[in-house]
Amino acid sequence: MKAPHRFYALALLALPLGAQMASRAAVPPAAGVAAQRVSISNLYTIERACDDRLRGIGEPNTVDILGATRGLYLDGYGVVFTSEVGLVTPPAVYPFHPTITPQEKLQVHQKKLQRLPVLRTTMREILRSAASSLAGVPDTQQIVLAVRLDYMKWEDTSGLPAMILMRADRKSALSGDVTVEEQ
Amino acid sequence: MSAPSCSPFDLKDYFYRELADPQRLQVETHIRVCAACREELDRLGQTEHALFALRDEEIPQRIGFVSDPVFEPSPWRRALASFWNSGPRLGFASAAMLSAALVVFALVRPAPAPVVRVAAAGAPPAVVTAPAVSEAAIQARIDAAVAKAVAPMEVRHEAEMRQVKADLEGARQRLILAAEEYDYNHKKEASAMISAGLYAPPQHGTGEIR
Amino acid sequence: MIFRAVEDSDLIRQAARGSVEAYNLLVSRWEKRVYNYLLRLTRNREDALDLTQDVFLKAYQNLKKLDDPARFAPWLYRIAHNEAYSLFRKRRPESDHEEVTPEATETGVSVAGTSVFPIELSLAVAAALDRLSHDQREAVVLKHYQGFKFEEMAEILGCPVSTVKSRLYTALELLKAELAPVKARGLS
Repeated sequence: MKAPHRFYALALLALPLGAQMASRAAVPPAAGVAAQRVSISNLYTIERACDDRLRGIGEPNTVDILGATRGLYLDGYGVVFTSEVGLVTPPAVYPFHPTITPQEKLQVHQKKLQRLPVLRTTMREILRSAASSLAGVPDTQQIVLAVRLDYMKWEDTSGLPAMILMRADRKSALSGDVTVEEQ
Repeated sequence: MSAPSCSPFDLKDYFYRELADPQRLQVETHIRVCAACREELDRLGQTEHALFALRDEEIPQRIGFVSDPVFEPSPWRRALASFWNSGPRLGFASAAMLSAALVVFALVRPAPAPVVRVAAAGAPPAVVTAPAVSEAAIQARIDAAVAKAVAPMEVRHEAEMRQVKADLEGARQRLILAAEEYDYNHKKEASAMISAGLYAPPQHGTGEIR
Repeated sequence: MIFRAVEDSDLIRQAARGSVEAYNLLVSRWEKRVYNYLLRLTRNREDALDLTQDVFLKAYQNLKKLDDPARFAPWLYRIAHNEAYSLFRKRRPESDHEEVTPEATETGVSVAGTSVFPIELSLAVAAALDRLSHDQREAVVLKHYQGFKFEEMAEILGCPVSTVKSRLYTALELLKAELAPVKARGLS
């Protein structure tokens, strides 16, 4: 099916760390309307707020951000935020605790199931407030939030999704009317 | 941006392998010396690669048809079809036939005649040997004796190997756990630095993708 | 692939003689591909599912007409293509093309959690495909996602190979422009 060519990964997105380390090159003001729609500092503010909200899903220091939220504006489409979350900090492994006990696995699984609805509610709120902050984005364009959930290999993931994606056009996002996809 | 026009043949025909060999070779010779055409091919490749970002979805509901008795084959036909269409069943049947043939052959084969020495006239009386035991029987007795002797050693060896494997597996699992935890913490720390604002955004520009 | 083609041929022959069990097995091998083909065309999951069911029903009813079981794939997709177009004509009889803006459609993006691609790329690709004309999108789907040769595509679409190529090449040019490597954020 594929032609036998060498492929290079598209530089649509650098690694999360790299993407955040964008240099402060001065850019001449763009003539087009699209250039003024979304400012990078606005996106950045929303990203950090998103991180904080996601961390707040559980008790302090029990929810981990494993991929800091990053936002991109796709011209003609809208704004997409992605994030990676560990819904429950896993038990640590060390010489006096070399394995994860079945009891611990069960606790982690149950805790994640408990936090899942809170995550969904939080995501809706993040979308609403992002839509509100992104006034330059047309009402018909999309605001998307995709949160990937991280799991260790020993985890029981039954009933837990690998990713939750919520999207809506900006107008609907303001009213909390979003489409949810889980995989 | 349209394709460069310096290529001897359409680069897309080359990309989709629509060119006959002589034409293909001409294009390949050309792209070795033409950076623009090489770049164009790379762009086509990258575009195709990007298309695979769109994954197939699972069908939300499987499709099945229920049988209509009018069209069902007869039970005899079904049985026959299920036998002839099944590789394992045919294989088993072949093996069973072969085994039966071997057993029958073993049962009906005449026993080898005993060897008897006959004394020649005038020679000292020859020793009349008892009917010689077959080589196969001798070998079987040797094998049995060896097996009996080594059996305890094999049992011990097996138990030791099981223990070694279990220990190795335990060590492997612990390593995997530790490596996973290391990766997890690494990601967490990297994200924490970003979240803490240690990488500030540029002052200008947009997050726009053109 | 050759192995599978032989097995499919057997299933087709059995199904043509009335074996529903054989046909169900055949369906289970092809339903996901046909569904995704129709999903990319219709950009609506419900429509795609309904059409998929219709396609397999029609295929079963006409299986005896398939002369060469080795040609099952293009034959099946021809049915799927026709079903999709019947639906479009029913809904918009005055137009051959579905000119829909990206915002108005469900882009039918699968967001695999273990995908090696960033979600943004999936969405950008879906949006770019949506911006193609219907014929162009179908050509891309048949070639890149379903893996058909040009001759097979011509059979499915009921048009000459040259037309198929023209649509596909134009589509690829448009996609190339839309999905070109992007500047990193913050740089001009």
